[in-house]
Amino acid sequence: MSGKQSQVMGELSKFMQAFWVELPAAAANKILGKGDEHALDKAGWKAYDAFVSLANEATNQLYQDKTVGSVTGQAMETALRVQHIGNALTSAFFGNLWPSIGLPTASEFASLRTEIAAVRAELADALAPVEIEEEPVERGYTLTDDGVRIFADGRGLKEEDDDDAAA
Amino acid sequence: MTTMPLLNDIAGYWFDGAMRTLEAFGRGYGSPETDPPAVTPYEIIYKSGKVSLRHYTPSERLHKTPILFVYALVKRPYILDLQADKSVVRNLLQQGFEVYLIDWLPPTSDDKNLGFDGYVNEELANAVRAVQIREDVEQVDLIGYCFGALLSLLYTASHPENVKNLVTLTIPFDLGVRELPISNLVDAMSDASVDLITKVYGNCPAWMVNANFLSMAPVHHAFDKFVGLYRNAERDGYAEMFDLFERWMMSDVALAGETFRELVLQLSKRNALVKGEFKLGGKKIYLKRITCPLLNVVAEKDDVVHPQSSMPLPDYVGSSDKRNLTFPVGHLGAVVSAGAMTKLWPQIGAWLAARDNNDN
Repeated sequence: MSGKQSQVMGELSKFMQAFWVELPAAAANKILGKGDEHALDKAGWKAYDAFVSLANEATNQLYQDKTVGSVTGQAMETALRVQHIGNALTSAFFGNLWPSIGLPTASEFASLRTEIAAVRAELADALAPVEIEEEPVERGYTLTDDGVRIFADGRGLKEEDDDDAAA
Repeated sequence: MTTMPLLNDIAGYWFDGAMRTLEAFGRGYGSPETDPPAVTPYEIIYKSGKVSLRHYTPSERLHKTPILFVYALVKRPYILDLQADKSVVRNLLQQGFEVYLIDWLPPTSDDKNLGFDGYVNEELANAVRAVQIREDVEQVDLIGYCFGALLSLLYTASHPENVKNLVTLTIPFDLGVRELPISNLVDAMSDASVDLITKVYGNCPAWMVNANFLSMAPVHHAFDKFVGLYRNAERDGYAEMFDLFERWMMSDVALAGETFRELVLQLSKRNALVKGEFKLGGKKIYLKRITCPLLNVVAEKDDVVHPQSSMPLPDYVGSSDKRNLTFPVGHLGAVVSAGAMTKLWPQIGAWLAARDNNDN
């Protein structure tokens, strides 16, 4: 643990140096006209990177702490137990109450969904091979290329004659 | 650096990130429906149970043995085919390999009893069989990534006759290694808590899987990645890659209840695989049964699976042709970094090619 603590201290001292010494120095140089924007940017990002390294190291140390581990483990188990009991109570309570007021239960919904899915699949299978063939229309006449209809009795009638008749 | 625009931009990125997280929580994180369009075209050649098996065809096939890529169970597989120049799949195709990829379908409430035995001896075994039939071969090359490497290892130990070469990439093998800070929190989780998670939720929910990943690097996910985006916004393609990556980070999938129990209680807390006590379907796993060539790829800067956890694997298998290949990248860098595309995957391809002959 002391090795880990010294790692955190090392990161902390790098951050302090970058944030409290190098960054103000770069800012002062820029104000006094001795440094440029680029040097200030560089010092700023160096301080940020040092902060991220410090935060990572601190998090790692927190994870490795036995007390943190034990508290997290215990909290997780407690939360899961509460949820387990809550689920059991909910299903016991609503399992009896729900049908008495005429509402379907979750399992009834689930089985209904399964049934609908099965019917849908059945329907898809039944429809797949069906090909609708168009029946030839019984027209009672033959249509020639120039639009003349020849009836079985040998009578001929042009399209426009028909329109005239309708008018 | 002007302070106000800087804070404005970072606040904007942070807000977008918060919205992404809320939207992911609302839709239940990852599923095949929320994947981005595929970069490399594929054909699904087999779909059953929890497996959707993709087939990618190379423009020119140079190797006889097909590769079956076994992806992890906990996130969507499009990280392996993220962009045209950052695609492991495309890289292997360009090297002339026939590539098959297992896209694990998310478990439903009916799958809460699905454990490692089901995943390895049924789902993965069916996928291997599908490749054998389609390719008319007796053996396949297995490449497993992370959790997928663990499944590949267990499969090879159970069915050694079907595997020609095994590549394990960032495998969480020796889970007795406690180098990662998060390990202490996993240790603090009681057996009762693990059982309660499966009793309350059935499967380990996707949000819990996501929380586990985020808690591995809380400072990075809380704000540092958004500051990184600000600092690199001018770099060509960075913002696009950031969006894709963030989307993938929110693509977690629930872990089947029994698999989660076995992973935490047997593999992680008791280190049963390394101790030779892990069982699949009641049968002990003997890693010495693995005699095929093994390439164990270790990411030196891995902060998800510690390198020390992957390194010992070759000592436990029975192969005579076995080695570790260490590469200076992180867990994800092994599949998306430019260095991995130009140096690591060509090495893996060359290793497989050297062991590919026509006696299959």
